[in-house]
Amino acid sequence: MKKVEFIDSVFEFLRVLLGIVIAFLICIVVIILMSDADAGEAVRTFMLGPFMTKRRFGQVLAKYASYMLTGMGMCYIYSAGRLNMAGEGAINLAPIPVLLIMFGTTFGLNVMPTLPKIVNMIIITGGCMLTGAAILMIPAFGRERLGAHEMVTSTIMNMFCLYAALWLIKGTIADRSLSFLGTPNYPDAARFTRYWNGSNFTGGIWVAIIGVIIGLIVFYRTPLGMRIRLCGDNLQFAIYSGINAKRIIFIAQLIGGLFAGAAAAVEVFGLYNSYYLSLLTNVGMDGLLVAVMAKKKPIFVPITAFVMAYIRQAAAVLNANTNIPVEMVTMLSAVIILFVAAEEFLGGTRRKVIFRISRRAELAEKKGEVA
Amino acid sequence: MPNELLRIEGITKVYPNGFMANKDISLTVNKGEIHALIGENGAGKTTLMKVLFGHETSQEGKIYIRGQEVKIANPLDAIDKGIGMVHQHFMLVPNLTVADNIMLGAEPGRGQLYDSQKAVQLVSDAAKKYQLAVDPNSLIRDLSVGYKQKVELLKALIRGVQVLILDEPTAVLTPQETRELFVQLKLLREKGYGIIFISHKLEEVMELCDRCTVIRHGRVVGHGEIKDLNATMLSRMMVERDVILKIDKEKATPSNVTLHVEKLNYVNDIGKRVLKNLSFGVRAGEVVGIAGVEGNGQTELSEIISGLVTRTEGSIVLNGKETDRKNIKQIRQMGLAHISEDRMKYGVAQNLSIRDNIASIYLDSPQFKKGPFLNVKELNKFVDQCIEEFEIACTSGNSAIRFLSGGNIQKVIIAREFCSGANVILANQPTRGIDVGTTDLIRRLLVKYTREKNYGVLLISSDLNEIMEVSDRLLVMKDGGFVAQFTDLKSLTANELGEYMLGVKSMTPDEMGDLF
Amino acid sequence: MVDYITNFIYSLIRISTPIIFVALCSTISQQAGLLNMAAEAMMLTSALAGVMFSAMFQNVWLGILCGMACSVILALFLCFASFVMKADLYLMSISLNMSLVAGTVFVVYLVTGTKNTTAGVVQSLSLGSIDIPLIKDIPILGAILSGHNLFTYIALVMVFLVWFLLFRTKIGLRIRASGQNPHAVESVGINPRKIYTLAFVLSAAVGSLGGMYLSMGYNNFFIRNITANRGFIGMAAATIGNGMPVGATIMSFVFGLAYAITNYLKPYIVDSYFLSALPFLLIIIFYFIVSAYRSTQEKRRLLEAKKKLMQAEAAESQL
Repeated sequence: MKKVEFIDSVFEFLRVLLGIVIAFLICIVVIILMSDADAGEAVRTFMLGPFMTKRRFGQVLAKYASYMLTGMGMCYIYSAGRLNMAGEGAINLAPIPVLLIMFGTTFGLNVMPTLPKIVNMIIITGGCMLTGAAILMIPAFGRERLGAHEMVTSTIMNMFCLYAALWLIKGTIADRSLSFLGTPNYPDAARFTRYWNGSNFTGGIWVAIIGVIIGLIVFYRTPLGMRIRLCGDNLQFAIYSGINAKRIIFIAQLIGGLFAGAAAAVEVFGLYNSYYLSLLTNVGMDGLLVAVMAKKKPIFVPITAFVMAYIRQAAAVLNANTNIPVEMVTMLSAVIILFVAAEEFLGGTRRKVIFRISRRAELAEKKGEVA
Repeated sequence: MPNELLRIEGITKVYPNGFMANKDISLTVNKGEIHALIGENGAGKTTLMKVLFGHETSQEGKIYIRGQEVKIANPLDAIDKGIGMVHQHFMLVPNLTVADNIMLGAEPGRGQLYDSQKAVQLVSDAAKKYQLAVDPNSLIRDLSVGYKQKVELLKALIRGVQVLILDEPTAVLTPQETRELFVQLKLLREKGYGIIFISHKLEEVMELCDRCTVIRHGRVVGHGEIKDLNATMLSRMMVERDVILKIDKEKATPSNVTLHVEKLNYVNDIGKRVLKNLSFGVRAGEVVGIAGVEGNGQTELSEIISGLVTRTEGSIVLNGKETDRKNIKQIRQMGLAHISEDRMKYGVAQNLSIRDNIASIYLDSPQFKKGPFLNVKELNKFVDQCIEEFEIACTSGNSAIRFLSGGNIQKVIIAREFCSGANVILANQPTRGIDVGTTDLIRRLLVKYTREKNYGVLLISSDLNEIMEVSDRLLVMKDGGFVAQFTDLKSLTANELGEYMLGVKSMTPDEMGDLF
Repeated sequence: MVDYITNFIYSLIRISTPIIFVALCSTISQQAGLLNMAAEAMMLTSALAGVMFSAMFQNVWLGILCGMACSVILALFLCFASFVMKADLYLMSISLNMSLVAGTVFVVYLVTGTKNTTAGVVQSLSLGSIDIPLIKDIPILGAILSGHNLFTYIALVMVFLVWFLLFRTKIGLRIRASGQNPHAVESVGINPRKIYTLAFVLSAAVGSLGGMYLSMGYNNFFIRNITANRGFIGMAAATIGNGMPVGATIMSFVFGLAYAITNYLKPYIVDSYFLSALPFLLIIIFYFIVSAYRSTQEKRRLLEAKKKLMQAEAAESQL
């Protein structure tokens, strides 16, 4: 029996690995085909690029922080059996109330720059989290109370959030001296510190680390986390066990919103010096990929988030140094998802192997009985 | 035989998990005949019909239609060869009209065009021909169950089938609708159709059918002309105690009533009255068994007691407190443990660990909490205890449920429910489909907990051996009401019990006595 | 003033055209009981493929056909992944959207060397506008109805075609039946997964026209993210339209109206972002109201049916 369990987890892992490896191989083939001069160099840039300079690795870590948070949030939502994708919109809209306070109130203009950094960071992150949660509650409310499909509402929400964020900024706190729409630069005391000589690796990583730890503890070590898992795996059973399933699914989406908000804080107040027009990140959607690769298990999020951050940075490095555009890599996300999510992929082989093992065990048992 | 429509010979069906559902089954259906196929739940009737209708393939056996051997690979094949089926759960599309539903898959019209007028025409012609009064233009979702069944019948007939299979057609019907159905079936018999009528209601079989075949444990145990048989003989054929697992038990010493059900009524979503004025009680320290053929209200009774379904009216008092308007959690806290009949649907979350599955009902108990967190240490200790005490075969408490065998899954459920501190245990089919060892263990535990811990157990089971061995007092349920009570189980025979279950006999309220 | 209004209505029709196509595309899949979350990907694919192939063959109809074919291939891939390989349909659709947004840019880059547009590099063809003989001479009405792009007229014909497909053909009946009760379909010997696949293929074919309208009618080139989430707007239109072709079309016009108003007011109102956000807000509010209405209606209907049945039983038991 132990063997069967082992084989089973090996196959689960193999599918994720194969998905990533095959996507990688496709990348390398395309790179070789496309780079006219030195294919070897291009492949090397792709594979090792993200690790070659501190700056690039800083970028990996920056993305890593955001992906851990959105990935963790999507894990909660997805394990409760919902596909609420308003996280993307939350990244855009969640920082706005904080920005309005920062640039639009005397507290923000006069007091915040003088406050200790840690206090500011708590205000910023906390504010973003609350707004993020509020944003994700809208599709959740539509689904659980009115029966409106959360996928439809949340995708529409994302577009609304993008424009609403710009609207809120434009009339109020936009820096009119800029040629594009954006806020003034954040005061130094109200942004995450850039480490490594101003690289994108920022203090946001602490938010991510704390977030992941809390996320893991809540998921695996509290009654609430247990309830979310039960609802996601077998709703009927959860109800039978006396769990208020509707409430739990609500809460799971709320937690997802909190994480999306935290990611927004890390992203907007870490990677950028001000909030401006084309700050479209796609971090929310990538968070879904991270959660799917982690098979809805938060424990794997730190790993899959890193893989994701590495892939994205590798693509960016490739984009900057060769003639191969970053989109080539993004394009392959469907390949990864196909392998990871396709239950039937390797399913035949898995069944065969498990069948053979249990047969052998049966025979061995019989032999033992005879003896 | 010139009259022969359908003959099956030596059908043997073994499922991939090794379960032999049909063993060497043969039967014939003649023109203008209603052939009853009767047997207990799980006897193999449904499997046989699935083989006939092409949902499953048998390992051995031949099917002849009018003397010609045929192979049936899928439902379309079956329909082409003239076999039609009316499923117990109707296969109808709610938002389409009657005509659309009937003609689905055999739509009239040129090329890809669907001629709905022609469909309506065809349906109303057929309706007239078979004297099934249906309005082709009404929507399925607006129709009553009896009406829907007519649509199903017509759906089969219009495809030109000669042999009709009806899978427990009366289970969902009101008495009035049942009478109408019988009139129609007799009409079809006159027209020369062969009908296979699956049922376990003997009075219906006696009234309607010409011949019958009885199967038990996948084998034919008797067949013959109805006119040569009587209900008692049929019930004896259907019900037989096989391996007798004896349980030694001391005499029960029932004390106060812990579960008190009074005038419980339930009307289900399709408007059928499933529970009729049920009143009974379970006392601490006794096992009360509810025997009965499945589908007579047992499922609903247990779902209502556990709070999964809301009752229509009546009172249920658990440990002195009314459970009306209480949610499942509150009812559990009031002292109810529930072993559901559908293990995989309600009993476990397959992909989660044994630990999580056991913990599911303990998430509020202070014993397993440390501040806002789960006390994982305590929980693990508790789970390990459960694994040891209930002999759950697994690698560790962290193994996912899906790696366990059915018996071990049931042990996980039993462990969870028995240790919850509840003093009333509602066990619905606790040993169905489970290996002999675990079955024996579960039965012994049910008795042990009543004797040693003074629990009250309500055992619902269609396994006669189990219900007669474990119960201290036995109620027989039929059509949503009680038809018998036995307090002296030693002198009760399976045959006698079977006669009550199948409606051959029934007791008056006076004969039953006090049900509390 | 009259000119102004006719202009406005004219542009409303123009703006609504792609949404109508997507809404019809989503309508088909919705009748099969599935949301077509990949509509965006299908539109993008065909928008680019249409441009490329029309340039290659120098034949606009051949280009459109190839664009449609690419969209259908995408639908087949999606169906393979979710019905054969058992990946989650919606997850797969979402990742396809992400892939195709990037993938189309990649192809544009391969062909033109820039990531933005095919304009000026790819000599693609497009469908022109058409004046309708008699109608164009009618005052006002002529200005509104005539002189639209051929795609717009195709869209209006398509409303009828999709309705006809769903409600007047055998396959339409099967699609509707599979959407509501796949077991029923299975019991008469039809494989519902085949029907789903067919529905997605048809849906992709219709949706592809919406994509190609954008790159071969409204514009005559492909620019990155040309669809600008119209796939989701169309899906919302179909959902609110309850999977009915006419309802979906009406909702498309409503959403088109929101867009048209936004466009028209932009010069006068400083807050153009508010106006950009407004249509989406309206869609959500509208969707919520409609869902709430539908779920209460459904509850009431069930309750009434139950009451009726109970009365019938009571009457019978008295007999």
